[in-house]
Amino acid sequence: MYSGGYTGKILRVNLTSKTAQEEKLPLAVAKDFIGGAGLGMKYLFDEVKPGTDALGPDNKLIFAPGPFTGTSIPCASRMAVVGKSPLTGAVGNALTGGYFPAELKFAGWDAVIVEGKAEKPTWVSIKDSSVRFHDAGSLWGTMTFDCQQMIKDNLNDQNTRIICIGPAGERLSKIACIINERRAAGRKGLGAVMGSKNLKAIAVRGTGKVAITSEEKYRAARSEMLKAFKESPVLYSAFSPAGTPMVVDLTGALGILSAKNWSATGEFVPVDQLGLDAQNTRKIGKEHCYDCPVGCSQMKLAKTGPYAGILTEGPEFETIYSFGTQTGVVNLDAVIAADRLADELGLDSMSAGVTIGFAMELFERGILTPADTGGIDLKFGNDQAMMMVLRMMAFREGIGDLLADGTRVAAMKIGKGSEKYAMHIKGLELPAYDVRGAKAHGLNYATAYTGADHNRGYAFQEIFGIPVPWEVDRLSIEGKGKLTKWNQDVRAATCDCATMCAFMLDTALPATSTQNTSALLEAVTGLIFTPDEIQKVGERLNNLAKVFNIREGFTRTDDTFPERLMTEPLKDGASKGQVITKDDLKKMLDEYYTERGWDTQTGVPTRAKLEELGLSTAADLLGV
Amino acid sequence: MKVKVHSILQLKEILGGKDVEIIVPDGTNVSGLLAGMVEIWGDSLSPHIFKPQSDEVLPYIRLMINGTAIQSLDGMETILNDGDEVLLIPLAAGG
Ligand code: SF4
Repeated sequence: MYSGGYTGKILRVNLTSKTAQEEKLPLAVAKDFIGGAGLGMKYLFDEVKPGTDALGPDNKLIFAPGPFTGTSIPCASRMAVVGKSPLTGAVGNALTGGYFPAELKFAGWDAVIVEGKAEKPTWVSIKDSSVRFHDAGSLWGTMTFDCQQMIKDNLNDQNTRIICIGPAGERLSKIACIINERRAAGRKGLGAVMGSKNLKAIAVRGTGKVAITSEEKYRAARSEMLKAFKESPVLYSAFSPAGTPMVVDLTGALGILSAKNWSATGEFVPVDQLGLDAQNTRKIGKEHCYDCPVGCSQMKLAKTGPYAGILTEGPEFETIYSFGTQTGVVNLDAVIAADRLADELGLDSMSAGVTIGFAMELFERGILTPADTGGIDLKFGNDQAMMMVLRMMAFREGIGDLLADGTRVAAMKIGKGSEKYAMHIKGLELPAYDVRGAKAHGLNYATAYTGADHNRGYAFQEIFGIPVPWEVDRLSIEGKGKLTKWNQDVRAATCDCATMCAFMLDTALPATSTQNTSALLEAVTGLIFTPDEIQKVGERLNNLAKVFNIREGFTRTDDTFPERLMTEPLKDGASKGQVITKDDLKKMLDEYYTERGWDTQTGVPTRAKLEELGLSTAADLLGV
Repeated sequence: MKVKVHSILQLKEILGGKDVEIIVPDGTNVSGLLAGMVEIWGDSLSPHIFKPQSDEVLPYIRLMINGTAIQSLDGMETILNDGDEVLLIPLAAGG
């Protein structure tokens, strides 16, 4: 029934009963959702009922590569991790690359569904079709890099691929991530879901390979993709040697590099200290994900002070923001050290840095005092205080316990008007781009089903000036509903479901990503999709996720921004004076819901739209 | 009059700094500014902003005046004023 790409097999691991069973992947699911985040969403929707405790045994974690994962299609061997997020209460997903996803396919699995809760700390090893449950007593408490090494030694196999949690996930920090070598499935607290299941790690080893339906079509589609890579004006020439840190310079120039908990965008722009030139002074090498010819990850070594000698893969742009501009820390070596420490502790570097920046603003405003911080001078720019608090968050010590669940929970506990300074949407901390100067990017933050998530509908038109599908004015709100729908649906289909690295969408395939996915799918799997049908897969995912969230109690009022973005215009820089007023947001949302075929008053998908997407069961459950 | 040109990445390297001040006659438009810059920086600059053998700007080069894209103004005909900050931005990627 499957001729390539898919193995047609799902592995269901029940931690309560310590059992593993093989199931078939229905062909209809593959056709409707392709794989990755779409496949994960389908199982989450069907199996996790509304109101389920995200940290209880009934939540599930779905590890879903896609049909291209493990093939030699460049930059496509990724996977999604999907579960209900303890941080937002909404759909949680995080995509990750590295080598684990391809190995999972070599072991023969289109997805692994983890359910239940182990009685005591456990790790699971998968070798092809054999699944073993191991006592994780001696691993519990370890940092993530040590944990991975201990498992490799235990299995006597240095090439085993591992995902695991650190002390933060064990302590159910709602901003805990899952670490995969030195990479992360970072956001939405999915590391805490692993911790809640007493699952420290999964190790995988496979000896199979991924079948290709038509070698001839495969060669043609792959070489077309590689040609687009070569013709890109930026991919090999600039992005490959520089990686994401070049966006520090770009957003600084555009006046949208958020700083000091979003209080100083445009005024405080430490590009000289943290931008690309500075990053290059610490660069010692590069890293690649499986079968990636680009290798955007930069290895950096801290050189000064207490941080000298600390090596990290990164920091990426978002981490330079979260541990750098957001906290006012301009010591690059401290940012490198914080990036490494967050990975070792298993904390999402983005949410962790934003939460520390939030606490710093509260400290400067006197809402938090030295009595609250245990005497730590938590002022903006204090790198040593940042490092101390970061560690305390993972171990839930002192002020760290207050901050370990992100800004929303911390603000609820602190009170005193602190919510005003908590930079999150639906509980997820904001990424770096100050969207007062990039309106569609902002509308995506407000409407993305995972909360403030740049990866759900990145507006490359506004950030990079790429005029696809049309040219836009980043400062205008006109037409941004339609654009955001396009960005969210195309990205969901081609990057989240078909698991292509999103950087390829921006750099090489902005106008051809759906054609590229369609040609590759036919070659690899034999399944025929038109480019429009590919885009529909993305739309289907966005609608099903929306229905999941509505059933969890989310309404139109949750599609919003922190107060600051709607009331405080940017004070300086190339976006000076920009703000997104409540009226601007209302107009953009009205247009967005209309474009989506959702009820404009409530933001709820209509039955007609859900039926058009083949989601009539979701419409029944929603009662529309 | 003086305008400030702010650039990043490889364009910054070519111009020798992220901010350069350029003196242009009153009434100069964006097109005139770029022509003046090519006179100063010559062949090291022109292939990075113009299509080959053309005075047409490469499609992925962004020009903004005080943060506003020239497409939302009068395009290459936009008249500059004393003290304007012109952003000259090459294609970047990542994030
Ligand atoms: S471009 Fe970077 S993130 Fe994307 S697949 Fe390659 S190394 Fe991984």
